[in-house]
Amino acid sequence: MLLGWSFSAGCTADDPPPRDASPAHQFIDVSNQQGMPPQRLMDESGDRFMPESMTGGVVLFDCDGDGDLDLYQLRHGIGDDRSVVDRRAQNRLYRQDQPWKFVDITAVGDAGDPGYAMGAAAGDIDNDGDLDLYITNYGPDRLLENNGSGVFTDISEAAGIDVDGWGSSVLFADVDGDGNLDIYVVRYLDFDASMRITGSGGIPDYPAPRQFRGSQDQLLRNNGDGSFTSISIEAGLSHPSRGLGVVATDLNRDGVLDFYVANDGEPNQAWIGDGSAGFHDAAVEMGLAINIFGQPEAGMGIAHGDVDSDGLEDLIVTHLISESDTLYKNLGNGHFKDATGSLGLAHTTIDFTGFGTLLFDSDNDGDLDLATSHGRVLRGPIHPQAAGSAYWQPYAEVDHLFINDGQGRFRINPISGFSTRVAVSRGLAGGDLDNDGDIDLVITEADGSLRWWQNQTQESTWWLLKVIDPSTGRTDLGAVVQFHEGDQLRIRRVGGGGSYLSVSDDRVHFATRSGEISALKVLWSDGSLEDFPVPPSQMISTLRKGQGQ
Amino acid sequence: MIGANRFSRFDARVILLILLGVLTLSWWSGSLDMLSSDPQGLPKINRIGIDKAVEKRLEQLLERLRQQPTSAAAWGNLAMLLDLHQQPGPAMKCYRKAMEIDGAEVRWPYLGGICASVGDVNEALRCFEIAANMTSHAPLSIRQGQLHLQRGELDRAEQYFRLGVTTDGRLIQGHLGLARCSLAASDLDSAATHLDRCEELQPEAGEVASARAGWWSLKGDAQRAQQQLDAASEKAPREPLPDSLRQWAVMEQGVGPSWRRERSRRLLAAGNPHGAVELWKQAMVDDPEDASIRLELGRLAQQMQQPAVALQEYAEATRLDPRLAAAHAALGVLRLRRGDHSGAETALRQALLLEPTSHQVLTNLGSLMVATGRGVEGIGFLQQARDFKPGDADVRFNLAMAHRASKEWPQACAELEMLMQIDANRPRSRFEYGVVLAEMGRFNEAAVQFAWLTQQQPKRVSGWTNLTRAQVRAGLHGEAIASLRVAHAEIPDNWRIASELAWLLCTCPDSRWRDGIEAKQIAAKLCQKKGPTYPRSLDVWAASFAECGEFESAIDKVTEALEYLVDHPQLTGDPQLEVRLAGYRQQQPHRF
Repeated sequence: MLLGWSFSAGCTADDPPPRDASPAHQFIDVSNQQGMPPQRLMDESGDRFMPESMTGGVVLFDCDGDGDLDLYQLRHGIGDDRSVVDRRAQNRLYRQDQPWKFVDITAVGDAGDPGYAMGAAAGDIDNDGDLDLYITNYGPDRLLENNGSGVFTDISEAAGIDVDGWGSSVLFADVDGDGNLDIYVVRYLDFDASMRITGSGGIPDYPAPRQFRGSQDQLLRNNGDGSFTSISIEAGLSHPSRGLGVVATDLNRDGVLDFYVANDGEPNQAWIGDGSAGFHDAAVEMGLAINIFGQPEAGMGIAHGDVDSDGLEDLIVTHLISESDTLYKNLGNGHFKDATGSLGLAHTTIDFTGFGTLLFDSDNDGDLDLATSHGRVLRGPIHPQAAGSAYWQPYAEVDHLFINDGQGRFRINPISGFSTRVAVSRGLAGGDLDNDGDIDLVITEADGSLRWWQNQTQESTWWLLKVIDPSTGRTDLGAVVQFHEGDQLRIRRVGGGGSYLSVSDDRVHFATRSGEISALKVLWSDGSLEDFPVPPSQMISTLRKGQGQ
Repeated sequence: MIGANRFSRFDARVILLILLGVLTLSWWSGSLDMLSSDPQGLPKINRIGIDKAVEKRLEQLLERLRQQPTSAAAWGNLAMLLDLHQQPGPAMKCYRKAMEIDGAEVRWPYLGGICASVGDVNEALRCFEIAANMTSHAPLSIRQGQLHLQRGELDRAEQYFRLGVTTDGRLIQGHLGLARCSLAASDLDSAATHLDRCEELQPEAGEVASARAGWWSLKGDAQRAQQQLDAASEKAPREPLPDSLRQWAVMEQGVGPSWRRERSRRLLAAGNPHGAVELWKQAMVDDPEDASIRLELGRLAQQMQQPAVALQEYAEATRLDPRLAAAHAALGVLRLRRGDHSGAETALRQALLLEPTSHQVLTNLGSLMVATGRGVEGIGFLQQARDFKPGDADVRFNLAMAHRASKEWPQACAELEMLMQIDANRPRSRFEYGVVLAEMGRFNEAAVQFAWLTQQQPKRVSGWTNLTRAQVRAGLHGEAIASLRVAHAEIPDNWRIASELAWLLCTCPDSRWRDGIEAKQIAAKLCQKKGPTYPRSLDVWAASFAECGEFESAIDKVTEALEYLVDHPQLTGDPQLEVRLAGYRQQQPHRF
């Protein structure tokens, strides 16, 4: 009888086409492999509670100092009392004990924060050699101190962290040159939690961000004694806006770190630093506020890196559907130019809502490729291969991996394997999870799923470098590693944030097909330039300040 | 073996029976399908949580489709309904079906193209291309241009925008598209030309201001770019594209509360308020207990200058749904406007109970308190409104006026200063700010406010008179007279300005600015008209005679003014007239 029904039902237009199971995929989804963390789905609000559509941070960092990457997942839930603190949906810390074998160590210490988490940053706030965590929430933020072995203690109160509201991306950077990492917290909007909307068909949907006022970003100065002070106003961060993504980089090439903030539906901001924690917004004059057509866009995530190997860091901002992602090419004179169309990102990104984004060398050929995670915030036609529950399917899209042709022009890699998953992707982080010399990727999905992509690239010469300043005992966030591959100058910035709510491996990865790397230098965050011999390839090395040539 | 053969025969019979059963069931289920007969190709439609008005229309359209499965219009109408009500995937399938059936009808590929524009630009462009082969429609060309522009295909985008402006040069989106193409090509001269045209057509368009910011940015003037961006953010983020075909779709199939509101708005914009009322009345037939419909009818009645009807509808809305805060608030505001303070207070307090953080209700309640002499209470409400909505210019203004009414000048001044940061371009705010500054003795600053006002509104008499008074109080006599000369040239027939100019010209303490002869000429003209202003005109004329040394004439004019006041007891005289008369008798001209 069942056979009969199947025959009579036949094949409908809604049936999914056969999946592409090509074995040549560069990235393999290993999420359900033995030893990987189980998928812990988060409850849906049911009535389209706006923050749930924007969450999904993930941190790739070495929490226990054993040389491999561990993972911290930001999670959220609504408690039985409708509060945004839900013990059942606490954040999760997974320690990697062997390649692709993880142990859930959330229960040890305070890592399992139950707040409505958005994003996080990892940085050594007390220069004791381990990575601490700052967590942004929809609600009060949290600061967790690492004891060196991956056990965290919530020190928010003792450290004077008093940031409430709706935080989004966050990063660590030393803004005043005192050797201590300060914190830049991007904040989104003043949300009215009681607001629910229904679309024109009566079906609930998420409200538009423009219905709410933007929030003031926070700059927290590290006092060096374990406490932090908000200096946002004194620092000149004067204009509240709906911020989502942030990078710390030297936009005007004056040797001082600046911040670039992607705002949702408002002009982006370029906070130019003066080296002593003072900032002014120069996005308009630098050509970074609006796109080439004079339109502010719905900025989400940011990728930074030199896409055309001219020694200058460019910026890519992901956007809402019907707005292409925007590539701001660095002209080197303090100005940027929207080069989206000419570099191949306009027609390929216009049909997607981009969140996480990362520039990295996916195929170890020396240039920077681009990964973007996608997922709508407004309902659309359901993709035939949409994964997840019926609740999330109208929002599912494919993610993309773009290959750089070496000149900065991007095209979608059809055999990356990365686009085989159709889901509501948000956070995206990259790092060499198995220390095999290529960059693997992790994506979070709106329903709480974690998608692990193992990079299968082989046959290349690669380096993985830790960049340490012995005077602070920690990675010198903001330093730039420079080298030549043949006659091409390559640069890689250490840390600097980016993507969406997420943190990538802070080790510097580079590779070459020719095997010829020369003139390795480090531009330290204090402005000093130091030459280093090229370390042996195919292994992890450390560049220590003062120990170069 | 024998046994085995027997089993085989048995198996064959069983299998035959099963197959027969399956076939029968398949036929039966197929028959049922035929009876309910959803047409072939009908996509899966999500009905979970769907609005009941949409569902009702959906049933009607499905029924029509069952009856006429080969009708392109039946598929197209269903497509429009789904498209307008959050189901783009099924809508697109229905549009395609309509296009298959009737390849000569432009509406289906065109509306399908709009539907596909969000999420499938390739498909949208294909649909638009089909539509473009059938018709010349400016919004279609503009939409094609916009999609190509977003894809970075500048040449094709420009080609379509040019076609759009050739077909209909009044649509700013065509010119804006051309401006954007020029910006992308760094052709600033061409961009400027197109932007100028946009600004001519629609000076307040936010998108144009934003594109102008991009222009200034490329020009290297970050300050002006920033100003334009600030201006853009205060205006509409996206300009609607007037499009008769899309409008037709909305009017045909836009049902349910949100589209009903949109259709009502469009009917009003088209000058058909009665059509809008009919729309809502029809909705009321479907759902007579829906308070929100009564609320909309009330709003429409107010727009149609039928306050009594509006009051009835609002009251009915509050009866049907006592928790509908917006209805109580609307009722309160209307009662307030009609002078029913007690009724207004009741309604507004009820609205506040339901929505304690509504800055609008708090503002209205505060203003009501102030108007009814309960200033302290009123200021309390207004302060709450301000705290809930610190960036709202109206709230700040009302609070400032409440402080002003209580003569709390520093507080009023503080609110107005904040208001200037939020929106410095409101003439009324500038005027009140000037008044408050003058009350605080900050005459120079007051003069700055009034000077701005006179530039913006050169025909506004109170702006000029306040400006000159502030200038006089600041000791800027020459500037005051100069201002009045400009005002007199601007509004030559205004008695107040002419009399003030003549008065200053003959009574100014600074001899450099006095001109008794000119004052006499102006005053003589003023005195040609009798009436309530006549005594003051005579007073001015007298002062101008005195300035010229003609004290007898001055005494005559003041005497005439005093006699006129006796003959017209309803007029209030100036007590200083007697003082000035005594001065003239002693050969002393008057000085203010």
